[in-house]
Amino acid sequence: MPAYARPARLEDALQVLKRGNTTILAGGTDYYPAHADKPLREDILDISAIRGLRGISDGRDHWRIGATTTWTDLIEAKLPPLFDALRLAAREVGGVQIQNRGTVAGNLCNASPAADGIPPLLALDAQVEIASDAGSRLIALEQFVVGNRRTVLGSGELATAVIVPKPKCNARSHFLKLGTRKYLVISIVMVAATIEHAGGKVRAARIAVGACSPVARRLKKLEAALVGEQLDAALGAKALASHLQPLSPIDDVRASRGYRTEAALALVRRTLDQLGAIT
Amino acid sequence: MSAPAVQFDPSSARFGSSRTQKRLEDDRLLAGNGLYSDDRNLPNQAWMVVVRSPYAHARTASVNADAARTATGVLAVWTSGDLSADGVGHIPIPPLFKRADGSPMAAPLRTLLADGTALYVGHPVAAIVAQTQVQAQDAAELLEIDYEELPCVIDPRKAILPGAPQVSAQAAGNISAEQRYGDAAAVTAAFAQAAHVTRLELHNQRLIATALEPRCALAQFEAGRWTLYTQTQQPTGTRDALAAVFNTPPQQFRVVVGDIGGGFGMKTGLYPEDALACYAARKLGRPVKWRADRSEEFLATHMGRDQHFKAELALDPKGRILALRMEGLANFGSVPVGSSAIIPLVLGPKVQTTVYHVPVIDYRVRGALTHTMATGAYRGAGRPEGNYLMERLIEKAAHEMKIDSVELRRRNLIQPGQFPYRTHLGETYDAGEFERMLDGALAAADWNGFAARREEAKRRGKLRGRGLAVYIEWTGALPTETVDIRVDADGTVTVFSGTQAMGQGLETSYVQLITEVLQIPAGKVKIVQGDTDQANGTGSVGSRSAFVGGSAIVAAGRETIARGTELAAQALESAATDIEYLNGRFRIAGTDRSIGLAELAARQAGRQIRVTATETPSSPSWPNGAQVCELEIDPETGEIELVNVTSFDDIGRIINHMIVEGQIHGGIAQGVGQALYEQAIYDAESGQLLTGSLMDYCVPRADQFPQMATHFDESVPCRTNLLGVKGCGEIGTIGAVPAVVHAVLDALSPYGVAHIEMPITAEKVWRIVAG
Repeated sequence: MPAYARPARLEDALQVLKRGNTTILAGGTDYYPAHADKPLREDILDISAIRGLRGISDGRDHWRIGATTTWTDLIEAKLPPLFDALRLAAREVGGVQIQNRGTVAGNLCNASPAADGIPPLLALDAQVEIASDAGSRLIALEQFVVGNRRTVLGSGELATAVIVPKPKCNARSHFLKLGTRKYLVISIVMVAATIEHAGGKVRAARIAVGACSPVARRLKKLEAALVGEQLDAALGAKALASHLQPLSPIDDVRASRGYRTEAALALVRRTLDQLGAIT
Repeated sequence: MSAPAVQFDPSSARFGSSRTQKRLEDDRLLAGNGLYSDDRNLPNQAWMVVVRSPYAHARTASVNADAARTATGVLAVWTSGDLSADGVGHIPIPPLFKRADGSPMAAPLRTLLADGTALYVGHPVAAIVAQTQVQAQDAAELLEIDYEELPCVIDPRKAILPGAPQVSAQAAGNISAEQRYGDAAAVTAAFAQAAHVTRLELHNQRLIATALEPRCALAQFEAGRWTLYTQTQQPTGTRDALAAVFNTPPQQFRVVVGDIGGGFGMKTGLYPEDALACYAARKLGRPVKWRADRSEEFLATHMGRDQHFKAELALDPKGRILALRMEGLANFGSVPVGSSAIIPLVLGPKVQTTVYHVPVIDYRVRGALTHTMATGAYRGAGRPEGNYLMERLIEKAAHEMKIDSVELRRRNLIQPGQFPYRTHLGETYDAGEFERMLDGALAAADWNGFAARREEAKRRGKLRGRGLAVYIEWTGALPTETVDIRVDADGTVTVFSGTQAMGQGLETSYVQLITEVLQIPAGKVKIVQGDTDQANGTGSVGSRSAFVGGSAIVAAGRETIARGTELAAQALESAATDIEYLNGRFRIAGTDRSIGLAELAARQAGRQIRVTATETPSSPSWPNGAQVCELEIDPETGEIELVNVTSFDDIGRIINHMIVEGQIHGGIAQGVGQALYEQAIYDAESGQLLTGSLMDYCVPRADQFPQMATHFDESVPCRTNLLGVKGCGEIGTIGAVPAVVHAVLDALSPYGVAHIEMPITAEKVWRIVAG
């Protein structure tokens, strides 16, 4: 008979994890559909009762999004325009019922190539805080997700928070998604971009594309090319097909490789145009 | 003695009177208080799971059930040999059709379990029953089936080529049946005179009905008699098919249906799982329940459409149609059901020339077997396919001949003076005002003001298009229904009908009809459906419930008054001719001596009055109308946004306006689904269903639809039935498919595209825009 633990304290949770072969459960919005109608076969650690893991706090040089913070918590939080991309993505995660249950960190740990949360958090330069019985460490989100449904989380480790560093300049972000319908569907392309700006010029840019490679990817050549550019509604024209080189979209029943590539470029340009147009 | 054919009775026209009455069933259905098959459980019930073929075509060389049989809780494991040893037969299909050589339609027998060879992914191969569902599922994993995979064919166009893998030894060349209509020589002569010929090939892609409620069966065998709780649009038909499978009289079965979470034609006839549950209940002597999971719903419920057409339309210099020559190729699937063949071979041809005067036609349609799930009824069933082809042909002809497409339609519409109009396919349209519906839709949609809207959209970087469809439907399949009415001593009036509610609001419409005939409060009326021990009939298919079932209810109501008048005459010691009926009371005219319906019932033997009435409308009905769709395309991504859909329909008299509007809205939504989003895709090599979940099969959602404007013209009552109604369940779907496709083609007119196959995904649009 598998064991089910729902501790109230993080230390207790880490002790449970130490025993190994345990599935971590938070909102359950990925876990339950995958196990519908089947009996439980593995030990479960339910982290939803650990109070300290939920909520968003404002630190001196960063924001901290606790691991069990739900998409609805995020949508309702008072956060600066930097978080617009993440907020827009949150509104398109599943439907409202999913947003009420599903967690931001769970979306990262599940590591689907089409995870809505990953591109906006990549564009925020987010880090993942990982705890274990031995202590805690921070790892860049880019290094955290290593493949289709694979992360660096080791046995005995728990993602406890997502850390978003505060930018040096004023910053804004935006998110666009293309799917066969708006909700409850696997995305064809997702684009998230953050622009840091001063004096009407781009000072730094971070652009991430999801659903076009096993792991969402940053477009670093494009990011570099944008620095120093005028911030206006024509910003998207700076994006070139060659900038999409990190992507490797798949061919399947939802869309072909060629269409995904072209749609990604159109969405990148549109995201940048819309960011540039905000006055 | 057969019942006389019923004609429209103007005094019935007030029934319902198009009133908007809130649906009586909604409080129950929306609050989760419905009673669906899966809500029922019986003491001591066991669970069945069905083991299905993972291959599209494979011989089941050997089955080793030892481990499964001895697993915890397992009560039985059966394969097809066990069933035939117990004398269980197959599900019959009506012997209506033939092959070109005159031999009967050829198809594998619909056995409950695959008989040595699995013929599609999802084909039931074995049934396992255990104490619990989980135990049965676990045992299913222990069943060792040695499959010998065989080559498969998915596309009917490939299936009929020489050398294609064969589905059935009886069906040489994979042709199951063929039907011809019209006059080939006359058509050849007409083509010789043509000024222009428009040619078109198109595919009505395969669709999956995706009802919210998965199928579920709960069977019980007691005292030599079965009770089956299931969901079917045709309880009586299901009962009779079960009787054939088990070679017993139909009275051995009671089929009980509660609420149904969506039917759309897919819940017609008998499914093998229903019969397997009955077999299991008898064999094990305890109730047995089975419920499909969502994946089984995708794999193994009847799918819709999948018809290929090749057509040529001959026109004179003015654009008047001279002749239509066409070939249809329908994909029956591997183990066809009755509707696999009836839809393409009979129902589609009924409306093929639609609202236009087509003097001669040459129509050949064939049904092919492929290694896929059977196709069957899905909202519209043949009429959307036929109307879509005709509308595409006329639209294409207009572009090629450089004649305005509205004008070309006008030149070819059947005119009011031509009714009753006999089509070259042999159907007779009793009445129609097709041009008035066209004009109504154009005005309601501000067709002529489109140029300004297109310009405005262009300034926003969007391509705006408008599309038109004019169409006709045929309703009233099997036009007889019998209704019983029982009046109890407490005044309750119970109406027994063999039609079947599945969410379309029949209970409300029927209560409206009977309260108006009997002039009693709605609270006194009870509608009983879905129990073959209490009511029998053809069921609810082909938009026939109000048309045939509703007429029978009014007739039974009148019979109640007639019988009541005789009984009241006896009770009041008067002549029946002196009795008048008003507001639930019989009165001797001109006196204060009267007796109420309830009191009259109380005086009868058994303290009730019981009457029965059978109605047979004189012929089918022909709902018709026009739809306009406007939409916008984002040229950079190819995404399509519907802006509005406007319908203008002649569906005869309206009983309840709100219900009818809902039916049109839902119909349009499913038509839009076919035009833009939905397609069942099997892998051409392996025969695996690639769109086997809601993640891959795109059913549109409410947020993808604009407001729909539904308009009705009730001035052309249908004269073939008592109520003057024509049927409204499917017409929305029929109109939406061509209207939406035409709007996309219009938006893409700068790119010179002649045709796009459905579903018109963003990617297909983008490919055209990107060149």
